[in-house]
Amino acid sequence: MTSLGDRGRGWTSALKRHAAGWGVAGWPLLVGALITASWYGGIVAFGIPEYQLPPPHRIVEAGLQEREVLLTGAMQTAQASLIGFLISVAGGLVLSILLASSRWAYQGIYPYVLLLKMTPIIVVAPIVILWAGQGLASITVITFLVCFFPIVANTTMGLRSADANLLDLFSVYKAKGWQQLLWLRAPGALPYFMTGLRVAAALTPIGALYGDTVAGMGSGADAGLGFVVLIFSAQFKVPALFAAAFAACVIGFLFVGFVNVFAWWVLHKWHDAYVAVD
Amino acid sequence: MVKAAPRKHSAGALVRLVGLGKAFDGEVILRDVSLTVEPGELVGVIGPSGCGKTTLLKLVAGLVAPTEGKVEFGGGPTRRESLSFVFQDATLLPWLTVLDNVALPLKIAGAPRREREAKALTHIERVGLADATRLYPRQLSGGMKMRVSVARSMTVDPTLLLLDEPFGALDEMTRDTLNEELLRLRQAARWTALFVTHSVAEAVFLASKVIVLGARPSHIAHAIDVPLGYPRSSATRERSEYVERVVTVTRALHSVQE
Repeated sequence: MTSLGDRGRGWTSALKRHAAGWGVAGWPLLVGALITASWYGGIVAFGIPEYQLPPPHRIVEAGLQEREVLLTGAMQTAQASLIGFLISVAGGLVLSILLASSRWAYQGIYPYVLLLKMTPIIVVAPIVILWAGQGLASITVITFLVCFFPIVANTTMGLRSADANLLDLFSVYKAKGWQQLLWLRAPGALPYFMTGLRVAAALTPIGALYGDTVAGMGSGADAGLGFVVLIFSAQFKVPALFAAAFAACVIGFLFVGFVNVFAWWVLHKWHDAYVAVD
Repeated sequence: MVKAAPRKHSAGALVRLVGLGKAFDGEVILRDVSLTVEPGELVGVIGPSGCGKTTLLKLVAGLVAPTEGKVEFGGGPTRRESLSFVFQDATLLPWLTVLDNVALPLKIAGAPRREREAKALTHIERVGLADATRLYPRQLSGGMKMRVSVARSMTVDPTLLLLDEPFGALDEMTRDTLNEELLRLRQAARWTALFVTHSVAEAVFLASKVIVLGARPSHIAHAIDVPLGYPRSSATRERSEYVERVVTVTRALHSVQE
């Protein structure tokens, strides 16, 4: 263990380390440049037509041209993602606490959670639409079904894996069940919960986009990105299709990035894995 | 060497173990352990590894139920509530500061924030960590963590302190220092202690009586009084009575391992 002083101000030193880290941003930029160069090089060398692989500048052009459709689509998808994600977090937490509350609950309920997770979303989606109709409600439910499991699985494991000595400590001081849950199991499960959140955040836009393609409303401002992709594909607008993929990529990136920052903010004071910021 | 004779039941006994036995899955760990701890005593339990020392402490703490016999808290005002436990590792909550860790037993007991923090601060100062109250466990050395653990055990004003190889994970120097500090704390607070250790030197230095457990299924093989009196300091380790007792206990320990 190091002395007190240099570890004492974790927040400021982490910021400094982070600032120093921007120097490393040069490497991703360099690799990006190399990819772009070989992209162009490949198109020229192998004579790839635009309807198979459009050059990057054509994608940017198409993106600007279709910016209104893409933007409203992205907003729509982001909204569905966010709602689905929040429902997954809330539902996942409640379910995890229930599962961790007793051996009976775990053994009785967990198999059905697994069953729900194992059923492919492609076969469940039509049933969801049957019940909730076309539109945001169905898309949200589909998003939930895609991303709730990592939260439940990780949080439940976290709640159930409290240190045996710490549990004894709470028993020695006659802690009640809710005190043990609130002050020992829940904070101890936070790192697990954050891992679940990260995985779920990466899955969320996928769920929303898929929900869009099967339950999306095609009328103008209501069209999510998934529906936009279907249209571009049908119209054979290949550069625009690539631009839509890029927009979806940005949504996913924002989601995961936000969750990472959140996890760091919650855990950096005490959890070793979050002390050094990546 | 003295064979442990069943002690007379004295009215003032703080804790009495009566024919205590414990088996896990049919395997007998402890057998017929009878022991009386008087107020003010520091009883050290030593024995070969795996002999059920920790189980004995957990039985007294009520963390484990005995398969035979019972633990009686008798005599005076002692109830299980005034009992504290110091674990082998510091067993701190990593997400709480030193202050909040030390105040935890009082928080569980429902003490208001101001009261528990004031009390916790007093005990943090007594173990010499006044500058570290706002730090998190990961920022502390092993010795500091154990000091926090000891301070936490003191906040409930324990009548009986149970210590499970409390400084066993530390280097010898730190360990000696912490043992001296522990005895200094006792001069002020006067708790009774039952502790478990695998170090003969530690047992003799801390205890007024050393209990030697035999190999599995463990029972009390020897009870050796340590007539050194308190307070004790590092100078105590140089006294001939101390050295003699270390030799006696070491021999007793060897005799049960053969």
